[in-house]
Amino acid sequence: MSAETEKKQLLEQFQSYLEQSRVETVIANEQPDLNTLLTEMVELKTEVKTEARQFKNTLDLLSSALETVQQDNKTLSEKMLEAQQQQDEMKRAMLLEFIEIYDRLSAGATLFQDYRPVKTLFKRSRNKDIKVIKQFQQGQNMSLKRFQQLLQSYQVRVIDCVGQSFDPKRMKVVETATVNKVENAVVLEELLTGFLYKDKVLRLAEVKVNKIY
Amino acid sequence: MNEIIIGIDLGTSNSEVSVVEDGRVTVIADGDKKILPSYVGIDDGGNLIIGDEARNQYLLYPERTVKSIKRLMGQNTQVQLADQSYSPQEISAMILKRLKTIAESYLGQTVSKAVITVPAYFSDAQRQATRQAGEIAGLNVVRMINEPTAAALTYDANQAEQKKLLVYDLGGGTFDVSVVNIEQGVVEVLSSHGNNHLGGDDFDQKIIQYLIDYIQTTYAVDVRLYSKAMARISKAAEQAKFVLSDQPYAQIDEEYLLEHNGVAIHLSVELSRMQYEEMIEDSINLTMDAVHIALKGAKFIASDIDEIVLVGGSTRTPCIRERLLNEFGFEPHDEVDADLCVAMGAAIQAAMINDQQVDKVLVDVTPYTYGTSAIGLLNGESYPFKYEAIIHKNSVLPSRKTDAFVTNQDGQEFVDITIYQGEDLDALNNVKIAEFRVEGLLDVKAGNTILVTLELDLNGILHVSAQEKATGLIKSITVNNALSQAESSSVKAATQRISALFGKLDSSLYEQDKLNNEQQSLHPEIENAQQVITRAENLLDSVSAEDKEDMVTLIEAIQHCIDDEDIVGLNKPVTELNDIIYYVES
Repeated sequence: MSAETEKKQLLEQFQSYLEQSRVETVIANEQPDLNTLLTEMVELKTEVKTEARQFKNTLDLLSSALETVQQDNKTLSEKMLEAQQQQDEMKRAMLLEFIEIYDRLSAGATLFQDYRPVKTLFKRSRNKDIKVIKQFQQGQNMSLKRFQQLLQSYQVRVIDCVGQSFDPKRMKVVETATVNKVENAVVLEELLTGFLYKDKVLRLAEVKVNKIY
Repeated sequence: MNEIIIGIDLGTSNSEVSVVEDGRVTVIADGDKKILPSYVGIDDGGNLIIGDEARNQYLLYPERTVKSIKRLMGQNTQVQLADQSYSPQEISAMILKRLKTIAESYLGQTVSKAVITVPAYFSDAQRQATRQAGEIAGLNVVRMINEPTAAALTYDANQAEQKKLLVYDLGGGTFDVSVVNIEQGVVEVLSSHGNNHLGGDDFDQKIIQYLIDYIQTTYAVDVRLYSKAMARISKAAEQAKFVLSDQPYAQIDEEYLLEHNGVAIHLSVELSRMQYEEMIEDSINLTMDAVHIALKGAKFIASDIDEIVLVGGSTRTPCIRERLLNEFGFEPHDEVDADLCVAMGAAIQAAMINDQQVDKVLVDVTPYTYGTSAIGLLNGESYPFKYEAIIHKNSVLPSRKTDAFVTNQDGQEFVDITIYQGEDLDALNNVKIAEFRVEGLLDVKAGNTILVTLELDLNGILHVSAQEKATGLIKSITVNNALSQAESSSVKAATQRISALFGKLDSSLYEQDKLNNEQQSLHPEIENAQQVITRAENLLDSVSAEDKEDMVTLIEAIQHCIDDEDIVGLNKPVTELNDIIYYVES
């Protein structure tokens, strides 16, 4: 019996201990340190505010950086467009200079075509001279051909006009003549070669056109 | 938001349209052409063609092409265009309508209002006709302004103080001069005069005639009989005219010009600016007479004029600028494109009517004059360092000008070319920015021509070249930062002045002073070394790291030698530094 009583006593002691400590903790909980609590709350609030502000700053920074990048992008693409246009202009200017040289090379080649050796009764061109001239002519023609190929590689084409009907978009009338056998407004002679660059007029052809009425 | 108003220059030979956007003036291009020839025509299909196309067909179809309709505006007459009669207003309306379309396609919206320019001497009838033309084209002409007014506006849209301007307008076919008073943005034409049949086209003709005469004398050939040759000569004459605006000699080379008696004839002749100016002297005199009549009409004398504005491509001829400089004592304005400034002015007026903000027309110009020194007259006495300006202050960039000089000794073997920046007639008072020597000249009598060319671009890089005209022997040099050369030395000078004012002499400046004093003593080696250091420093940013290290070491060594006045020790590091510079620059 004493063991049971002892057990009961111990249990009661234990229970009362538990209740006491529970009450203590409850009391402790029911009466928290308001000051500390308030301070902690305020600190928490400040921290949240600071964090929020930092977030906002970072977002602002990012959005202004984005704006700058977008602006730069816009400026760069404008500059690139400008540069492309400049490049095109420079190309056109250079091609016009090429054409000047082509004019002269082809003028020379054309004149050569009319060469005929002297063959009269008392005067003859020396065979050697004839050969020299023919070889030179051939050489000139080769240079001219190379030049034509160069122009073609740059997408420059000659404007075809002799025998064609006059086209004011590609040709300019600088002289007229009257040839009754030919139809009106047909190009009789090309006085200056015209060229197209990528299908746009690089230089107008200057032509002599038939004018009957 | 006010409706857009465009500005239109409706000219005798050419027309343009422009608009102000975001404060900036733009002349609107049709494709890549900002200038529309004032030609109207009907093509084979019966369609209306305006501009280049109409001009191209004019000789073939004069009965269905109309040009220079402006000369008939205000007259009670009709013109024929393919069996139909039109009044001058209707023809002008076709041109205006085309310009309207060009503007609309650029702006992406319809346009119904415009400011159109007219000559100052246009009568009421002529102005009324122009207004009608606008109406027919579907444009409400909110205002018509005088052409000289428009030109003046491009230079001084927001002018507050009062100014008296002379507007000198020399185009392809007409010449007009006006005296104009501008104040608070209000422009009043006080007088005007002109010549309806005088222009750059006449100048071309003079050169063409010269070439025809030359070929006749030299080859006994009448080149007028050869169409192809004439086409080439006309082109060559126009090109030579352009070249002579920038260079003192134009070489006209037309090989294989024609065939005569089975033999090829080449044209190779040089036209000097002096010869050309002689040819056009009469025409220029006519324009100056008109200028005097206009001044008289406004009751002014030359000194009353504050500024001169140049309009029209033909004003690029240098002798016109010189004549005006002689008469009025100052340089005329030509910074704004002479072909487009009237159209731009019309757009500026349009913007002002719309209460739009207009920024000053920005043009990249050089703020300084660049030239070389030569033996010449200064204050009536012979002086070996007279400044000869080659690129004038306020020239539009990029600019490339050549001037001719001659050797002054028989058998002169070399010539030293020194390039200065500044305005003083005594070259030594200007800032020296480059110097080099051309050796190996021909052993000939004095008078050997040397051509000096200066080319200045937007980045401030100045190319200088000197060429012996007879042989083509050429030497050139490049100056970087030409536009800011004077700035660094003037900043130094300014710093010194201000420090002196404050009584504080910075020890570094004091040393600099010492160095400057030493320069004036007889140590050309030190001066040379200083120059080499400056050049090296300019290049420091653009060299590799190793080169930079080497250069810096050498610069320090040289500086030590200068401080110690060790002339002998200078030689080696200076030569080494020069070598590095030479390798880097090439």
